[in-house]
Amino acid sequence: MKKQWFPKVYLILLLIIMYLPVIVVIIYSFNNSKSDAIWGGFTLKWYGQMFQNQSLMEALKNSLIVAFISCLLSTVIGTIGAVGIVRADLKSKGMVESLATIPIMIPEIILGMVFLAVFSFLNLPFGMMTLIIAHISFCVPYIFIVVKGRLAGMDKSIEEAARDLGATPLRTFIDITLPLIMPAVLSGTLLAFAMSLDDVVISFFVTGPETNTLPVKIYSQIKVGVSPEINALCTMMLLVTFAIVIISGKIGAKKPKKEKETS
Amino acid sequence: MKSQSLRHKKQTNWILALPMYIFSLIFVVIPLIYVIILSFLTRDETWGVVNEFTLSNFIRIFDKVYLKTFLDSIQLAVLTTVICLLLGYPFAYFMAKLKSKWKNICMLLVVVPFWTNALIRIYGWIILLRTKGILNEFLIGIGILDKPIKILYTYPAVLIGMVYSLVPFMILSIYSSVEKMDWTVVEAARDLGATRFQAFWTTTLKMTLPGILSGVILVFVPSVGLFFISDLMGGGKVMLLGNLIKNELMVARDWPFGAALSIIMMCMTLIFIGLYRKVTHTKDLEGL
Amino acid sequence: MDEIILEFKNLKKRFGDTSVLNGISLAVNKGEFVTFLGPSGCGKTTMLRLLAGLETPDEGEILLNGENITTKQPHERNVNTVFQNYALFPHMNVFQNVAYSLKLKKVAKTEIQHRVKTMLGLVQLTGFEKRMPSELSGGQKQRVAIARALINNPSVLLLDEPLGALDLQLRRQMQVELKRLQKRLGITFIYITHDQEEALNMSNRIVVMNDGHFEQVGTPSEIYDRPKTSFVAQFVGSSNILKGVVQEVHQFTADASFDYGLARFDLDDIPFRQGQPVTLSVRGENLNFSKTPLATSTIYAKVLETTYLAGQLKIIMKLPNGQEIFSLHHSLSTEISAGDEVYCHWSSAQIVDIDPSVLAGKEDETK
Repeated sequence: MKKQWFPKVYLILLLIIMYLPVIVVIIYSFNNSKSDAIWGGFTLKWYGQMFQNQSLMEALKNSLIVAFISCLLSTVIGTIGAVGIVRADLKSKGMVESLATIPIMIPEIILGMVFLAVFSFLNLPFGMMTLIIAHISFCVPYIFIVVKGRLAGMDKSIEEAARDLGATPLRTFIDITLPLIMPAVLSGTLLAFAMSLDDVVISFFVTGPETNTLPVKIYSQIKVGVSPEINALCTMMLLVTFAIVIISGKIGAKKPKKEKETS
Repeated sequence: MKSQSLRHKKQTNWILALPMYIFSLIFVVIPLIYVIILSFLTRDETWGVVNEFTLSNFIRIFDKVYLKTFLDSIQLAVLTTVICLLLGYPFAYFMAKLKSKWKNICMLLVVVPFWTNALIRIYGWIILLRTKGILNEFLIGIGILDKPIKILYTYPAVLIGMVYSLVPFMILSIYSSVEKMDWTVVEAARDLGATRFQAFWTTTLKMTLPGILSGVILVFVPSVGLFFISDLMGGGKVMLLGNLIKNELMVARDWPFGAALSIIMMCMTLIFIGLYRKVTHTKDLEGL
Repeated sequence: MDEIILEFKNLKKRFGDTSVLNGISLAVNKGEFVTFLGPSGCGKTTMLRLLAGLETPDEGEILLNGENITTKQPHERNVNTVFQNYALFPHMNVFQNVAYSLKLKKVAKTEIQHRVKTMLGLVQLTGFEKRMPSELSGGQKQRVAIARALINNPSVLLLDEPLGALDLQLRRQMQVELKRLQKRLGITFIYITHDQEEALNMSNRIVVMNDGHFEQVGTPSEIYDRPKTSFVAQFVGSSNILKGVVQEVHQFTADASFDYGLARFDLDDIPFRQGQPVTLSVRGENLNFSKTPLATSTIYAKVLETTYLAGQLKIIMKLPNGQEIFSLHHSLSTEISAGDEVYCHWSSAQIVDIDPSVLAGKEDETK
């Protein structure tokens, strides 16, 4: 009985420490004082400055474009890839699978290094194109795994029932398979979007001299020193990520929860 | 021959996986092979590469300077892993024992930072730990210190950053294995006369071993490569394998050497994963 | 005037190295209720999947209304299936589930409305149109699955252990309903089950399957009263199997010797000769015993235990060679108890697993 309080205190304490740096960044984005140790009153002026900072806005635009395009492409590649792998009667299935998931198995820095080496070898100009290719490479395995998990958990006879009732394979995919894996596809896509938006290490290696992404820009800014504008920017990014994670969690959890409630 | 038609249909399914296959072949597998080849080539006078086979890139790692960085990096990684395990295990264990409502909330709270930008969270620590930062002001304010101490840009600061960034991996892998655990086994051990501690030591720990091992891999492997943490929090004083690779590539432009370092790091990863599979007889890492 | 609707010839199917079906053939009449009965792994589900087009046979052909459909895709055959675990579309409501195949056929909306309504009425689910599958009980899901499969007026309806997931009471009720539905619609049912009671209650014909081949095909009473193989005898209403050798042949009967005594059995026109092996199947309720040997039976056994089973007394005995046999009695009073030594005899026995050489002898005779 006397031990009851310890686990709770421990969990809460560790969670507080986990969130402390995040909260500090958010609070200080509203701090009127330029020195971040002192609270100088509430202000939104750093947000104003942020939006006027051309290079930050440029980096934000780049980040969004890269995240959007690479997410879209990886969703298509990863989803149909998962369907193909799960439904195929292939002996080399396992090998194809491990090949496809290499990018999330090896350390990021190696992937960055690999891209750097190969893009220079191919003489590809570093910029949007290289960023998008690199981001697709680590988003695809993620979506692939999420969708594959969903497909594997799906009762195969549901698809067979549709075929039995007169649906062609394509109709079955459109009417049955796709709606059923949609939550997984959506939540995977959102999380891939968040990953792309937040990636530092790989982007650091494949970005060009003129196309900074936001995290790369923040990285070089933090190295120079702390600035309240960055606080504001970081807060914005945090909010976007929080929103994405929570929404994707809701989408992903929707189906199983509903089934559980009624069973 | 006609009876082949349906089987044929099944075989055509793999065409769907073709884009993914081709993509990973062109942009991941072939590049990886290229990097492996690169590590055996000679560096040019300028920063190009000459097609001349050599092992010197691998031998160079045993140079005093590089060896020290390498060993320091491993040491830091081991330290990070141990601390993550010590902090993460109780967390995961307690979390798994919560009521399901609180468990879900707790889970969400652990997962969210996982997805937020690592840089931003490190940045928060910089604000906290700076000489004129919040922690120092706070400690002086309550009278523990009379003048600020230097925390940022020291070894402990890098360690804090590392542990902080990687502990969620440890928690999630251990959690998924505690969650799967059959509690009746522990109860049986207690019933048979084991003390609380004995029961934990002989049953719980053994059953959660896959989670622990997978957590160790997920923490150890990236921790040699997180160059931006030592860059930002170590002030360039703490060099990791990752920093070395980054410098060789971006500053010294010695690609073959950078490639050789990457290959070594990759081999380490593969050995770890191989060992994990051997010990736990499973294919996928727990909690991935 | 039976009209053959479905016929399959010499169907063979292997999965990897294991042969699941080794050349089975059958013709099914229009409006018939045929049940495939067998233990799990006997190949009955594979056979159903071949008929549905979800698998293709390695050899053999399937004819539906005289047309070869062996390699036709599932959506190209007028055969529908009720799946074992219902396989309802979880993202569609009851109406959408039932209407799915009509929509695929681009049937007019008003007609869909009408037909779905009628069908739901038939399976007693009127008013459930808007419910999602997750909001239905097991029995209701089952009805939706049946309605969905029937709405297309299939030539043949395939049912894969449709009642397996239901509890005993509901299962009995659904048996009656299904049978009634089948009679009313006149659709051919191919029904798969491992439950002998279900098979005996519902079918016009039963096909007992084992290890990828047919053990026996016949009406429920044929299967129950005149099993042809020891497998059928034991699987359908369990029986005692006694193996012996023909000792002496009389006009209508013969004496067989077992390693534990002699017993007389009816020849049933089978041309047994002295020295040929014979296997007898004796149902528990036909096995009696007495304290002294009879002229026609000197089989000696020792009583192991007596138990009550569903209002019947089950007496388990051990033969001198170690084989255990049992006897069922309705009278609850018993003078028999464990340890007693008795002589067994039977009122009726079936000859099963007849050796081909025995029948070959018959042909010789007729020549």
